[in-house]
Amino acid sequence: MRQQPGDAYWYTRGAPTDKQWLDFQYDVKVSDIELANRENFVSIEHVKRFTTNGMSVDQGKTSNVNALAVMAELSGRRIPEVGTTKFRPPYHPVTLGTIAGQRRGEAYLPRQILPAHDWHIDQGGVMQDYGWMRPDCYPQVGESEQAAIDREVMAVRNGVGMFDATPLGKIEVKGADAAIFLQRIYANNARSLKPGFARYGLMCNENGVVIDDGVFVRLTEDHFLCHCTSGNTARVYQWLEEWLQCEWPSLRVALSNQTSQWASATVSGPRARELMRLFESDIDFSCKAFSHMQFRSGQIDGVAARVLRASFTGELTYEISVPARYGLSLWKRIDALGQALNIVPYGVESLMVLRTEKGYLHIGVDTDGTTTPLDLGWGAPLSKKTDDFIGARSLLRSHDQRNDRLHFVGLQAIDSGQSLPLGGHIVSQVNVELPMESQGYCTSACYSPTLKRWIGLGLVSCGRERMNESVSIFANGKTVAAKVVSPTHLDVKGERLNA
Amino acid sequence: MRNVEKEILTPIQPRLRARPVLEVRAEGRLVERKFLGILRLQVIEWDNVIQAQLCEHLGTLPEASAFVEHHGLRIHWISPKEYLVILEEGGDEQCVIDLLADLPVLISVISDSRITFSLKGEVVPKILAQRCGLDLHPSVFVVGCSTVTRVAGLSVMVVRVDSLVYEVSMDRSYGQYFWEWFEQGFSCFEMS
Repeated sequence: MRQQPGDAYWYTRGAPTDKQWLDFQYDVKVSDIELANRENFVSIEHVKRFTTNGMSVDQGKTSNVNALAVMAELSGRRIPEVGTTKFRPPYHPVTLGTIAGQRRGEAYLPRQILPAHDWHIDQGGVMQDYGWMRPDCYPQVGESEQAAIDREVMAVRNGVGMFDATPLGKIEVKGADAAIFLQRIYANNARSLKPGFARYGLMCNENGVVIDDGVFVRLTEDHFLCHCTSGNTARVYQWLEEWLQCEWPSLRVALSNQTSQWASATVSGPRARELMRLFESDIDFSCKAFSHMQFRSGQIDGVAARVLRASFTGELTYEISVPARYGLSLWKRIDALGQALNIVPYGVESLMVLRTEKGYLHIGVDTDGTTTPLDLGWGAPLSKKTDDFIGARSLLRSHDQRNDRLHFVGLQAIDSGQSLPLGGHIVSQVNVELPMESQGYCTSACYSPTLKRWIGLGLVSCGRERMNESVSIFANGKTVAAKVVSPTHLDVKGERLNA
Repeated sequence: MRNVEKEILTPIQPRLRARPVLEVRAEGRLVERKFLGILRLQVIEWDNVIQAQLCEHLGTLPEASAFVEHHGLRIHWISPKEYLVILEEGGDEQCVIDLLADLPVLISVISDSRITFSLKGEVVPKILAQRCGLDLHPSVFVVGCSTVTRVAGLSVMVVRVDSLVYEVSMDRSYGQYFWEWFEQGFSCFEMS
């Protein structure tokens, strides 16, 4: 016999309504809806705000259904006449069981796999879980991880290296108002960017604190490609959607997270152009035709590809993206062509050394929950921007403009062989007597095989006014002598980058 | 890639190349649906005119949490003002893009960013329900239902295609994880 659905049962008539809950998160009861009805509320949106029904994390799709059904009955209307509030995701209720679930060993936590995952394993890549499984470095037989990192860094500085950049966040922003939208999102200027060009951008929250950075590209007049930090992509995407849907719904813009659609490989080093010219391609890779911070679409060995000249190593760099199904083929092809140039794959740890040498900041590592663009030395560029953007007002507060804030600077060990303690506090005395005031801290530290010394980056009080000043870095009861320097330890003029 | 073997790989290849179909006894079956053409269709300003134009080009649009099939195209409701258009392997994505070129609709090709598995068997909803909050009871999640929800900690589109056939679609990078998770689900039922 076919089962028939029962009648809807929204509440128990004849029983005390102040003990019948409709919203289990905000404790809204049938009696609250009765009061709203007595107060002559008609619109369900007003009932929602009067009772707070559906304003907790379920965002209405669960509890508001109960409330509007009761409201319909009390006001003598049908449910469609009462209408619904604006539902937001999740459109379908999610149980705690879905989130918690069972323990399942290796399958307990989701992990993302690169298209070239097996190649990295075969080449001895030391895989690390960054959400994506990514290679830190590729030690050869008998080689330590530190030696492998040094070798990979030097290969990029002197020849050419290849890096799997697939996890780099790729969010597409399309629509007639795309430029206006990004002008409000980024602290720097997005609207003046021409199609085919790229620009580095900083994103702030309402407090003016930097939350992400990355290179954004104008593909066409109404179409942008925004890169964001690999581990922060989902958060940035939600951030953009929230502003678009809740604050600026009138903007004609749509967003799409395209990160997994493309497999990306970065070719970096002074010989990168030589390698790119070995591909069969309709793209002119000469410096004159394709300079730093430019973007091209074209064919790479018969596959439709996107190529961006942007760098996180400080070297001449091409970032090649192809549809993910060709990801492993692209990777193998670069490796095969690059053998003539002694190409070397490099991993995330090697990239961290390369970017520290160049002084490129890593959001969340070199910044904390208080760092603003002004602290990063972006005061002059931002002062030229006349349009409003998220965080702009906060940056005008006197607290944000104080001179004694923590500035982003470079650090250099006085004794070149002495390691800098990551996370160590900047203090002015060699012999520390606790408690002592911290003047900031070391945010990144590594041995630079290029400069043959330990270097670092840090957030230091009044840092920009303290260039070449000797400081001590305190950690674990010891101090290390260091000097405050420019964050750019290497190639200050950017000649390598723009080659 | 020209001049070398051009390997076009789906997300779970090559790791699972030796075992393209997961089959446990006769109770259930998991197989990848390869190289579907997938287009994300976002309407910026929804009104009756746009809806009529979309219907004219694509056929009747699905209701919320459902899918429809017309002329080899499958159209899924994703969220208000957003649909997913799916073409079988070999389908021309560009045809759909051209078809809708004059409409104020934004289309993104996301074929390479998704992996789709076909799941068959009475045991399928039971396995999915282990880490899915959706009511997958056959009388509730009926044939034609299509919902984006959370399964095994992932954002997954769950579709009931036929009485015993379901499809799940997710970010391609999670394909291997899902396969292994589902395999473990099978093993639970084997033990029982």
